[in-house]
Amino acid sequence: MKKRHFSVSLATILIFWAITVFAGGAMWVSSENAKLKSAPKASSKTLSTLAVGTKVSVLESENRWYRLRSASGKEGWMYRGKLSDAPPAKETDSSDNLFSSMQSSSISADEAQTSRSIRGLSKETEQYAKQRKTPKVYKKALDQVLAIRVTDKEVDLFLMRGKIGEYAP
Amino acid sequence: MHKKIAIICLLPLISLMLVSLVFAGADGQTSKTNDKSPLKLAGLLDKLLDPKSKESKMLSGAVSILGSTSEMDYKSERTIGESLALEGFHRYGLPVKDKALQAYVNLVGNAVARNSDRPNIPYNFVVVESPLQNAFSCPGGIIFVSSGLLKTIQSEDQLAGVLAHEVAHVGHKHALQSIQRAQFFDGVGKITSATMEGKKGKEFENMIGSLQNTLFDKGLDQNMEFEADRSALKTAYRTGYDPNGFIQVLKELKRIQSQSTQKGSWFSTHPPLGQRIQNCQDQLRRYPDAKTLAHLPDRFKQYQKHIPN
Repeated sequence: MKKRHFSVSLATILIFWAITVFAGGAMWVSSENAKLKSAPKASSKTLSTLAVGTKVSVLESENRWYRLRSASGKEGWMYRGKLSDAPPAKETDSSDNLFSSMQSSSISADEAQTSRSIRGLSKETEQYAKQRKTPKVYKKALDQVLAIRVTDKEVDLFLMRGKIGEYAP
Repeated sequence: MHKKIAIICLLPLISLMLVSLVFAGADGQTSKTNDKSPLKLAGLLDKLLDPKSKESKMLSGAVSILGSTSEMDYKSERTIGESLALEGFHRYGLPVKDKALQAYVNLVGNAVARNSDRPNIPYNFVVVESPLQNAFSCPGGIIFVSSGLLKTIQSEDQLAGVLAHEVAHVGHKHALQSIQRAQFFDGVGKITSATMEGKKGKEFENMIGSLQNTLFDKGLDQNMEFEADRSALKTAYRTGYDPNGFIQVLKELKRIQSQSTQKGSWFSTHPPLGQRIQNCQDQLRRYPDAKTLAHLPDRFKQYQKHIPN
């Protein structure tokens, strides 16, 4: 009987250990524009860009860089700021229930692209402005604000010029 | 006897578990994205690990994503945000007419937003002409910062921290949480043209009024502010800015608080600065190499000159 208890305890511990080791080696891409590089420096060749939410296995680390492998077998180096030790929150683009959960969400890559390409005031905001008799000057101001679009390339160049993050010496 | 053997077996296994966990969190990052969700695995681990430890928090975040995934669609959220933004111009002032300055703030903002808890929605940043020390975010990602606050800031890492704080409010949907019981949502699943008319249209207006009251006067729940502060430090750090920059802004605001206008500013809509500074300083210990990251006072000051007097 005691022997059986011991075996069960040992098996439980082993399973538990396996789960935690698995969780420990895994990280998730949590930033937009997360580039997989051939070496632990920004000037090295970009092998690919991994999508937000991609699960990766960390193989080694050097300074502020991780060498990793994605589930699809892609291997390379990524700046630490692009990764986190928990899966990022996801986003939904359509749902009938507005408030079923305020804490988490899910988004597919396509939906994210749709969201990021939205431009100008929505039809509904226009209706709001009409009902409120919002002065034109505020609508024009908002239109101008929404017209500003910053591309990943521009952000990269900006970070490079400031020697920030992966571009730091 | 068997118990002794079990304990002997247990010790190296637990050590291995801890080593593997420490390895995963070796960069000092922790995710707070979902740390409120109740989770079985986290609960189990908490029995073995100190609940306040980095490892346990990391694990609770790691598994909490398994929770609910459904929520307000982005377009509805954006409509609320845009409507609020129109009121924001009315209350605080129009955008500063300087394209270079607006572009610069959008670059800093988007740089941090890409490393935030919600990186894949569009973010727009606008500097408005107002002497009040203020910044606020509209649902969906439109973020206001006053020229008054920009004049107080001294470097790019400080600006990055402030913008990351506002981005965090969007990511955590703090403003939306404050209106989730609004009458407008009775029987409404999605904001459409039909829901903007008649009685519902009036209820929508009331809801935007209530949001203004919260964001411009009363302030969000203190815990939301603390959560946004924690996220601000993490996001700035992940981007490569010194997270201490954000604390420097809070310290400067504390210094000038007595001679500044309170109503409608960060002073009246945010928790006491002393407490926020203390919390942030505690959090800063997670980022041991923070000081070696970017500060960029010169680049910031080059654009600060564009702010009209």
